[in-house]
Amino acid sequence: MNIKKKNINTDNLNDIAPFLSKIDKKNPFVVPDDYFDNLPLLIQKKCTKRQNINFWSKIYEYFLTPKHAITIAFGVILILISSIFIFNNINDNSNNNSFSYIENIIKENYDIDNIDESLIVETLLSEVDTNDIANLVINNDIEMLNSDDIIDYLSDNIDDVDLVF
Amino acid sequence: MNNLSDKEILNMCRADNSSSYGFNLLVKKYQQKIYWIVRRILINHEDTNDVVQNIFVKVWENINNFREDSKLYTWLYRISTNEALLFLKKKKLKATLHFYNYEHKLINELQDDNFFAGDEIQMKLQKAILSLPVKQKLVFNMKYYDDLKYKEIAEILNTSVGALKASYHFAVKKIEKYIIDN
Repeated sequence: MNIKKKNINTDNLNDIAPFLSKIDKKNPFVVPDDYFDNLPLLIQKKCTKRQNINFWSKIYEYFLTPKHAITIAFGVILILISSIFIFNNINDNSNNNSFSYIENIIKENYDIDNIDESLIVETLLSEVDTNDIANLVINNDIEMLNSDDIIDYLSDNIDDVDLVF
Repeated sequence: MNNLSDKEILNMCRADNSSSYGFNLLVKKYQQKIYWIVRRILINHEDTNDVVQNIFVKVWENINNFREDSKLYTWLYRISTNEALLFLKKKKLKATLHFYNYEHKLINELQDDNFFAGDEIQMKLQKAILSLPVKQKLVFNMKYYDDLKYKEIAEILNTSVGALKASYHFAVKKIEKYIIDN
């Protein structure tokens, strides 16, 4: 049995839609008067406006995209961690340098091996410049100390108060 | 209006000293074609006006990214279709959230539209087109009104010619039935 495959010619509307093919193929929509004369100007204005968008808002939009925001967040975290690490190393070094400096002074001037607390305080008061103490305070990130705090601290920690005053 | 080729207009758009002038020529050459592509999808003139302006802004911003793998008109047609569909999607979503059917709203608006100049049978045809699924509607408009070849439609919609022929066939059959039934 021969089966004939029916080919539908979709390009010929008469074959598949006789009613539709009788309808006049015209555009039923209209536009306001002079619309297409004015449209290029409207588009030009819109393009110019877009071009003049504030630089910072463009930056803001750029940073708002998740990809960039995540990258920037990682960058900031990395910088913070690095800063803390580097800052701690500097503090350690400065502390080591200060103590070795004092130890050397004591050894050179007093020619002794055993160093007690009163000797260190005495040496500190006589040998270390006030600027060095200030630097030591700054390097140790003690920002909020005032004179009363220092006096309180020394009173609590040093037995012989006269050495201080 | 202007007899410059697409290539010449594109070169002007991409040159620093003639970009605005070149783009203006591009707008003048293609504004009507793009407008009618969008209008047939969105029906409403005000919505179409907004979308057409946005399409050209997008074209202006991306003209240097156009690699000329396809014709300029195909590229513009693709951008226009995508933008119109995106707009339609947003409208439909908004309609769903407010518990109404967007197509029904468009049909009702069409009857009172000052910018619709068709007769009764044209109105019936537009209502029939509005009742089609989006892809069938697009294919029907491209084939019926714009006389595009299946190959061109396939390039614009990124689909196969066979699928397009089927879509067009179903669209025509549905429209025919709608006209007979109504």
